[in-house]
Amino acid sequence: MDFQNKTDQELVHLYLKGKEAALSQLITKHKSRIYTSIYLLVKDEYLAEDIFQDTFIKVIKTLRAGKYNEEGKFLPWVLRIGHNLVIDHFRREKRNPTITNSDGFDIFDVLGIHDDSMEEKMIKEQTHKDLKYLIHLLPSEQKEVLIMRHYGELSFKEIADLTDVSINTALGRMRYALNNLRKMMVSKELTLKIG
Amino acid sequence: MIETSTTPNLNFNSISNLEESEMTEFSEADIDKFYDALKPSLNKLIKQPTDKAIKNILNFSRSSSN
Repeated sequence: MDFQNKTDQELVHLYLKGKEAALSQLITKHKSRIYTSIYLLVKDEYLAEDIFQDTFIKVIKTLRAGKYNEEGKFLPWVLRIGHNLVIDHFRREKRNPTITNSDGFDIFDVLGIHDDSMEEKMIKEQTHKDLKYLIHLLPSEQKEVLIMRHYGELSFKEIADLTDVSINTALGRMRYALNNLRKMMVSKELTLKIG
Repeated sequence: MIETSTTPNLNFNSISNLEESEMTEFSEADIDKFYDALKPSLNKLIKQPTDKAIKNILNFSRSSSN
């Protein structure tokens, strides 16, 4: 059976009928958005991977228990679970997300910047690290909206529902996040080149 | 793409006052333009979970369905 053209809803139904490949397709389809959203909140690859797995284990248990609300969209629902698990983690640790230098694998390392000079490559690598740092310096509610909007591709209504605020507040937080990122980049001599 | 004009010498710990009460200094159009320009760089931060993580999830699903 070809699962690639199925909607999320169809894949959920197929999974509940015993088609394990439907779950595999759902994970393949959404893994980057979900994992990146978690990773940028916790800033630790290993922890992000644990929470990513826990998220899907909870998804599986909820689906199997027949508790999934079919009126909601699959991705926002999974992101909500992941988000709640991140909050649970920090509550358990009784601390806020901290900036670490534990970055290991970076997709840039394997995407190939083969025609760059060593200096250009080093600047790019530094710049990507800088951007990650700047995102982490945002107030948590602004960072969450930026991540959900950009990486989760959630609508502002979905973000508002997920974070229990009004749509205007969610929209405002995105604006503040972008505004603050820009201010930090200006003050730190990081400039955007369009194109 | 983001470029640095000089070798970055950043002191991120000094950045503060980013709460929502702060005055907005850029126009809506500026922010939209900035976001459009920022998107490619944000996209380059996208990461993937390992194959092992996905395998663990699928193994859990199979084992729990029996």
